[in-house]
Amino acid sequence: MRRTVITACGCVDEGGFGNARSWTRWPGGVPRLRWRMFSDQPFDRFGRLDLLCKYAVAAVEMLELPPSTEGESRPDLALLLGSDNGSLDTDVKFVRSMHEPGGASPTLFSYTLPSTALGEIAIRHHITGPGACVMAGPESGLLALWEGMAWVAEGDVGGCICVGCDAVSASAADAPSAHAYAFLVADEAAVATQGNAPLARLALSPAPDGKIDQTQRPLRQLFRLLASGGGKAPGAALYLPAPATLNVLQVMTVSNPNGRSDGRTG
Amino acid sequence: MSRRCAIVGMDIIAALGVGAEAVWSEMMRKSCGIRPLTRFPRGKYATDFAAELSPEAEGMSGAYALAVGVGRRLLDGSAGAAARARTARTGLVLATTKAEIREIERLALEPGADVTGRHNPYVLARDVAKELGLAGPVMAVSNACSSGLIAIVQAIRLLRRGAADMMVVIGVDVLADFILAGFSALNALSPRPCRPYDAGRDGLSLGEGAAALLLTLAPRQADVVLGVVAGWGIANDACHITAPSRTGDGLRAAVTRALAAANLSPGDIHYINGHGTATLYNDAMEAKALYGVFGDGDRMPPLSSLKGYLGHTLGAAGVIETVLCLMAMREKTVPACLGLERLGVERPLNVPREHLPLQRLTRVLSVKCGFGGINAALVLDGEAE
Repeated sequence: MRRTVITACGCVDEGGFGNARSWTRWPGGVPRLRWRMFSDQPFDRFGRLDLLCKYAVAAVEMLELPPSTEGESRPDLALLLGSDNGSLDTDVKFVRSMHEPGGASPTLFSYTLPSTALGEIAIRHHITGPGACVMAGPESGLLALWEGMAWVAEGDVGGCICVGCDAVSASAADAPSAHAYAFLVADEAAVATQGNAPLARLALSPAPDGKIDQTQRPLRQLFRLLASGGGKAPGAALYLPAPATLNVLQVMTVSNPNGRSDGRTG
Repeated sequence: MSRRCAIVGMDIIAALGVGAEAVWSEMMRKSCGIRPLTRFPRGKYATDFAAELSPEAEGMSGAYALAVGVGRRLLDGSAGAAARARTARTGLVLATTKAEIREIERLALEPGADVTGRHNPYVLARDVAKELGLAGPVMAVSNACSSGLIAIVQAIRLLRRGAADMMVVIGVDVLADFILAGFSALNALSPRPCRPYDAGRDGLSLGEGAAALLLTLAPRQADVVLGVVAGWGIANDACHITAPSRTGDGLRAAVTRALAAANLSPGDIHYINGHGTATLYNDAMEAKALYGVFGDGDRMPPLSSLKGYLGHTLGAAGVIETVLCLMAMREKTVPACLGLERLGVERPLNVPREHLPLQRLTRVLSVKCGFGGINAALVLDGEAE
């Protein structure tokens, strides 16, 4: 088993958007997302993306991946998306389009699968490694992070972008929500070779009594910890529970990348 | 730890019947499950044909009923392994594109409608697991048409990590106006039963159904091991969200990874279960990718698409066709590529128009490709260790 670290994080949620280096608070409520908020580089497609894709793509942009040379792909980088509602927002819009005079919209239909968000991210960043969209209710994002850590630890890929994203507007749900958290999980040894400084080390350990950090939005808690530099504090900074659906009595220990891990990898 | 995972149970409900034996038997008669629509209005969509469930599946309309139905058949029919599955730590990975899709249609048109919530793939998976008495880990995979193969991979990953002793994988998708309207809007439907890899192919035929597999890393002596998952590969095209890659590079990468993981070379594969949707671009892409791995026509293993029998069952296709690949290995017969009259892809593939008995058919490669550019390849081995 390889040791894993988080090297970058990104977030777009109701509070604002940013990464470990910068944070921009929305001035007054969440505005309509526009690409220029997130990057100086042109990305004409952004305006045509559905809500789920916009949030997922924007959060991954916050990771500030090094640019990929034109034509050069990233086969050793995986993509995992965890989403509770998936493409429900677009599904509802598509059904309504079926009953409009112009008939069913082919553009909307193209976005009626959550895996489309993976495709959009893969295209933008030339990611040709494995990918999957996993769903486990409200813990879907956490499941994506656990899976991504395992894929890297098990040696399947060198790195994995783990995205927890839900984006449902009031037209599709009683409780609209829109947020995306992205984390780049990588092999610690490879990161050290490249001379990069990780934000935190990840490890699995038996659940310590009373130390599981239960939260409704564990990825938001993780992002805030990393963005505040808490991942580099001495000792274990955060114990994330396994998604309940996995029936695993372990926690993910997020700790100082320079300190001695107090968790057992595995 | 070895990646090899034993398949100790299987079942299927599809347009050609209920049960793996029944469906295979119809396939050997070259029966086509793609017939004139009965549950949907004719003349409304780009086609009047689809592979609707067989009359034997009466009462199992809807993704939940279908998934529970195929799951019950699996657990009632896998002899000793099934009995263990009901008592051991057994989990479920469910593959689907749209889950209980008719609920989405209701929610969109009747806001506030009283629905079960099973339009959410995870809620469907959770409820199916509960109904089947599966207490282990539960998750759903929604990766377009490669969902089924990726769900099998996820189940094996959970087994390898010790999260469960046995895993059930169910693939399910049902026909709905949503699906017929969407593929009509994309101009992706053939007005007649589809013709995979044919020169005159003009689109896909939709289907519906469900299949289930029972997996374990530690089969017991009394278990009937139907086959072993020897390796897999997944790769993204990173070029378009709905159209297949023009080069086939993504699928080629997935196949290459699967063969490497199985420690096999292309010459070790006896049969390729292609995706073969019969759209112009998918089949052209597949031809380039597979020819790129397997070389010229003389060395090319036989390849067939099963879409001509059962239509394209979307998220269920990977699991449904894995069941049929296990049947092909058991019967040592490559099923004919139903619908093919004149090969018309850009590479000289070896696609049989008649069933092809083989003396040795123990290693099968199955490939599936989906929206989002995700390609998956799975290597099945009929010779258990």
